[in-house]
Amino acid sequence: MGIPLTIKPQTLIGCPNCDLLVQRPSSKKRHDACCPRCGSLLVRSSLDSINRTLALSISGLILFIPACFLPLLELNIYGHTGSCTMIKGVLQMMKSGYWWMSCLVLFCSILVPFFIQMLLFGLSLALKLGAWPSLLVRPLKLYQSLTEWAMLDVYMLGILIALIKMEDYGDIFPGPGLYCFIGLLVLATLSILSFDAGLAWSLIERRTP
Amino acid sequence: MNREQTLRNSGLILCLTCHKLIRAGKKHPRCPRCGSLVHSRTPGSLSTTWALVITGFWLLIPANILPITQVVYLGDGQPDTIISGIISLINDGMLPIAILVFLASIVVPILKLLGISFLLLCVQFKWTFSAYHCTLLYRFISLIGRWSMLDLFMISILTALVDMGAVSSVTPGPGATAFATVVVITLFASKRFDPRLIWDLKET
Repeated sequence: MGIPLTIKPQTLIGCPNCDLLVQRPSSKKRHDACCPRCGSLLVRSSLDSINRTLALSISGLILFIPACFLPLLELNIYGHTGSCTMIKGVLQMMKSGYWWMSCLVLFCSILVPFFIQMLLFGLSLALKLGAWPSLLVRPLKLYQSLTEWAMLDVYMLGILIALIKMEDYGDIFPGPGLYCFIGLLVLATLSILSFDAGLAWSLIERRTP
Repeated sequence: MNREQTLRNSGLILCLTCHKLIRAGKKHPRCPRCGSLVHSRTPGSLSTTWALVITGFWLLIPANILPITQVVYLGDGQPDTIISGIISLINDGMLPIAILVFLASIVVPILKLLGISFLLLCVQFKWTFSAYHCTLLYRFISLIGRWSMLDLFMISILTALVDMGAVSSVTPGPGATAFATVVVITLFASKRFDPRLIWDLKET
């Protein structure tokens, strides 16, 4: 049984989770489409995707440096002080010999979020200028495989728990890095949400000679 | 009941990278748009996922028996396993945080491994449960998996924060390495499992 010839393949989409063939909702409608059989999200609509992603990823990249290098938390136990930055957390674990764990933390909390912001910046700029469509395939694939390894939100909860846990032991207060980190978390989440990978793929396909 | 039109019985394959529909027919089709190899069903999904799940169950043992942190406070301290860390949080009167850590470090990894094993058994032995609810379980498992990294991030923050030599310090323990590996392995396992296999059971 083939698909009837009257239906163009462009008007159809497939569900990656249950293999159902679904009619693509008309592009004028501005809302998300879910699979009618298993309920997975199929099409996420985002308004003015490329411009918004460009703006959000630039701001995210600017905040990245203070969020990584300024102290997130500062601690004072009977005159002994300590502070932690994202980088120091990784280096300290490396020093105690737990290289596999420190690489994992470095990867999920610093490298992947940074690369994602860089890729989103590059992709949205190139898509906006309409330049080099065939060179964008690899970065877009890389972006898609990296998104699930970005764990800034989990890291944020880790900071909060550390903050509450150490309250009994000494004076603990948030450092300047924490405010930058919260800003970065918001911007990184928004830029991933505003980026429409489906739109990017169809633009690349249309512009490739 | 009339048969729902799936990609497979329409002679189409979905590219999982860029979501383009491709006509099946060639032997090893590649997506013309992004160049990835496309398959109607992920090849070797069952055996790879089984291998990862069994490894994950094995590693849960060292992750829970060995200490994950060594906390020294004002000169004295003892190694903490995941469970003893949670118990000491309860004793310190921080019940909400204890529950959060319990969920992220114990419930999520175990639930994930059990859930994927259940789905694998369903496909392997052709048990017919509601395919909708199985897919819901799969999506839930994929969604919560990353939150078990919580404990590792917390250890990393505390190691840097409490670094005052003999007075007070926090250092990671060997259990943390095993726990980190469990988290990574379960993430890969849920990625390798192909939920379309559940829906294939309905077709036959």
